[in-house]
Amino acid sequence: MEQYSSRSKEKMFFAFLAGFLYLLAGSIQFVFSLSTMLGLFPVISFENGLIGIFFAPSDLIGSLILVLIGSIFIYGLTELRTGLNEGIAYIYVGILISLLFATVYVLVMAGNWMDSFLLNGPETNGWDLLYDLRPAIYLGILPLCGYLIWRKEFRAMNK
Amino acid sequence: MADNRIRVALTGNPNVGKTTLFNVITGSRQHVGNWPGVTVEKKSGLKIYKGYEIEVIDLPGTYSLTAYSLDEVVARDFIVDEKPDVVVQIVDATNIERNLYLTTQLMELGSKMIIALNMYDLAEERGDKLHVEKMEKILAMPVVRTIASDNVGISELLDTVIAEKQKENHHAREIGYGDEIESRIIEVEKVLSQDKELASRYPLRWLAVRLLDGDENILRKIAGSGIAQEIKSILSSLDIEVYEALMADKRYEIISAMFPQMCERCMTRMTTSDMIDRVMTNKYLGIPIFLALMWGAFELTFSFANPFMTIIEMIFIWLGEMAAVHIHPDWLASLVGEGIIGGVGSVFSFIPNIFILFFLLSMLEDSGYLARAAFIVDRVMYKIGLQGKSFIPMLLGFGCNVPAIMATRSIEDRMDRMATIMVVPFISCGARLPIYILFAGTFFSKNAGTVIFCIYLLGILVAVASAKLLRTTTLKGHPAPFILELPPYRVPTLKNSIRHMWDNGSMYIRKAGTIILGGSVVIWLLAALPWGVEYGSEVSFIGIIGHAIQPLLGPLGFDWKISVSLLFGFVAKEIVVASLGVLYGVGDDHFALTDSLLADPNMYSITALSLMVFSLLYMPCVAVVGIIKKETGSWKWTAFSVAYGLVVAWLLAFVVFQGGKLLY
Ligand SMILES: Nc1nc2c(ncn2[C@@H]2O[C@H](COP(=O)(O)OP(=O)(O)OP(=O)(O)O)[C@@H](O)[C@H]2O)c(=O)[nH]1
Ligand SMILES: [Mg+2]
Repeated sequence: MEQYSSRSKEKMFFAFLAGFLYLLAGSIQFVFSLSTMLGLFPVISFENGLIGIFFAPSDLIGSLILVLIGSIFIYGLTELRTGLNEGIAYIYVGILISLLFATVYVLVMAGNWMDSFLLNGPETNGWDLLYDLRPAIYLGILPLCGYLIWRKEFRAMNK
Repeated sequence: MADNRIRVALTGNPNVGKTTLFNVITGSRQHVGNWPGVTVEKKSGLKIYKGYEIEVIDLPGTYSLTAYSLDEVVARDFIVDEKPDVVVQIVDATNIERNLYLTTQLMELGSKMIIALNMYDLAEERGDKLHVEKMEKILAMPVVRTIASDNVGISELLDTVIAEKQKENHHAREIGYGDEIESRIIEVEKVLSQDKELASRYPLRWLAVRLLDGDENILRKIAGSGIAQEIKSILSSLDIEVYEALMADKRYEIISAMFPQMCERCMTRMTTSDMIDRVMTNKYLGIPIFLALMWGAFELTFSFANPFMTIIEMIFIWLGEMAAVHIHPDWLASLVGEGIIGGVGSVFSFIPNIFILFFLLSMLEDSGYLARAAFIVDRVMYKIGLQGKSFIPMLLGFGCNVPAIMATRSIEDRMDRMATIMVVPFISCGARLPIYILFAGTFFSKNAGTVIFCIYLLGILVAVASAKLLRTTTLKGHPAPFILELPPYRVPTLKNSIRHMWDNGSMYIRKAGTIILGGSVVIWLLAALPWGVEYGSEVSFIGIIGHAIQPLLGPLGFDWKISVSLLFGFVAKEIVVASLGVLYGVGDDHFALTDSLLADPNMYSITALSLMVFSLLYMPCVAVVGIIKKETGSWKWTAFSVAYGLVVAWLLAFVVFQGGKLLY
């Protein structure tokens, strides 16, 4: 498995970046969804404001999933740092799971759109793109790049 | 002609592809899954090939001929007692060394044997170099390469079966156990040979080896014979445990001598599978990952299916309107509109959800992930006192509880098995999903997916807690340690997932067209009779029944309509939704059932939650009661299971409803 070590710097950077972004997005979303649920900061309307757009606040579980994905990347980072090449597995799984959830949210978005199309006709007033565009979707671009770059290498792990 | 008939038994370790092979040969559709212990019963099928009538028998997987659990006994007894013409051992080409243990035992039986080296694709992909001809020579039996999942090598296998059947003389390789054991074998053999009947049924050397191996089942088989006493006295003079260990050692020794000649580069190494497992079964991340994936599945089941549901609902509403306008007389219009379209239609509209959920579960199962889930949960379960193996039947229970309860046959320990049978009904099956989707969708809109996920989770928790309770009270005992061989990760195939989805989904449709249709008509009749009452009013039969049982369920927040629907839900859980559809008269006022429910002043989110909890936990359906009776063989346990489910359901729904009322 020596061939990986030369490229592990790249992966460490990737793991750090992805881990950081997911953890950040996840924890912000978590705090805001919790406070919205408990009605802590009623002055700021998260549903409509800037934060509402980026961190659709009513999604508590979604925020936990972001935190989970972030933790997988960070876990992989720590293993890579101590020289354990198995850390790559964490990055691989992290990429896999983040892409899975990006797909889940895209499909949910598609479902909501179709449903409101059926009920309200082409104007689709009931549907709000910004509400459905969850962080898991746009953050997913990063792991997607990672997947495309290392695709061959991951497949080669079989051999 | 007797000569044209060939009986072929498929045997092998668990999860090597026996059922997949069986399905491609016979064109059947037995359940295939990426974990050990899927098949628990023998299944036979027929194949006409080149003028031969080949009867193929699929057997449960087994690691050795020393049978421990019920399913292993099935596999062993078939090969030993029924003497198929040819035994085909399916060997996982990526795991030959481990599979050879069974081979060494089968060889001793002396029947005609063929090895199907299955999953050849995976071995090649890994870069293993397998020497098939060498293997044939060493084992003295034909070896055929197959890829069952891609229908490769099947005709070669069948040709070999026919050739083997026609072979006159047949020579099987024997395993030498070393002088000391060999002399014992001869001694026992001599005694055995006095019983002519026994000698004609079994190879004596094999019997002797099994007896010295401490095989209790064989001891039982010869118990009726006149020489049983003599055998027992020989055995009791020996330290059988030492012999058992020595013989196993010898087999392993032989295998490790043979194996390197058959395969180069087949050493064990860290594979992708192992690497992924480090993450998936990580002490801290394992359970969160499991929960996250399940949540994703339910979120999709709900949200993505929504538009399809809307379409089906629209069609049925339109049909109901048509019925109301065009059908005369009025009572017939009501039967068709409210009874049939209302009842069956409300169940039909959940078909997209059912299909999507089963598609996703099948992907998770096929990828090998669900078996990991069992492993992760096992760590928790073991502390709780239930064997992790119990989790596999529970996973099957998400589809339907009936096969899940049958799957408990793979659990060796009787106490474990009983406890598992008792708790499987708490696992939410597909038939309960419509109830959650209806009520969660109506009262929790955006959060419906999460609510449904929580209900499923509650089912697992109640199951696990009940198991703990049972294992510390009536079904005391230590759980047997659990060794689950983790299947490798595989990219799930679309074909398999779609087939799985179709099998489960079509069952649901078939039920909708039969039991649910019948149930809807019965409920309509009860709602329309006695003649002349207002439809579905309190003076109709159904109103009378509803009011009679409503006091029991009132504390849970249920009115008479819901109470009576739950009562009929005993037949099948979908009927709860169907009868609500009938009673809320979907066809009549052109409203979807969801609108009627929202309009009902007695229904609000707490009631909906309480109803979902109750539906989750009370007795699933008559079919499950039947299978519990059959598998436990006891009316007492069956009655206990029903009563226990009702009590738990009532208590938890009570807590949810009363607690919720206090909070709001
Ligand atoms: N890649 C590959 N996968 C296979 C092949 N044959 C079977 N499988 C897969 O292996 C898994 C196990 O197949 P089953 O047929 O259920 O195995 P089984 O031996 O009947 O298992 P038990 O009934 O549990 O003993 C499934 O996921 C199949 O799709 C093969 O030749 N190649
Ligand atoms: Mg099978």
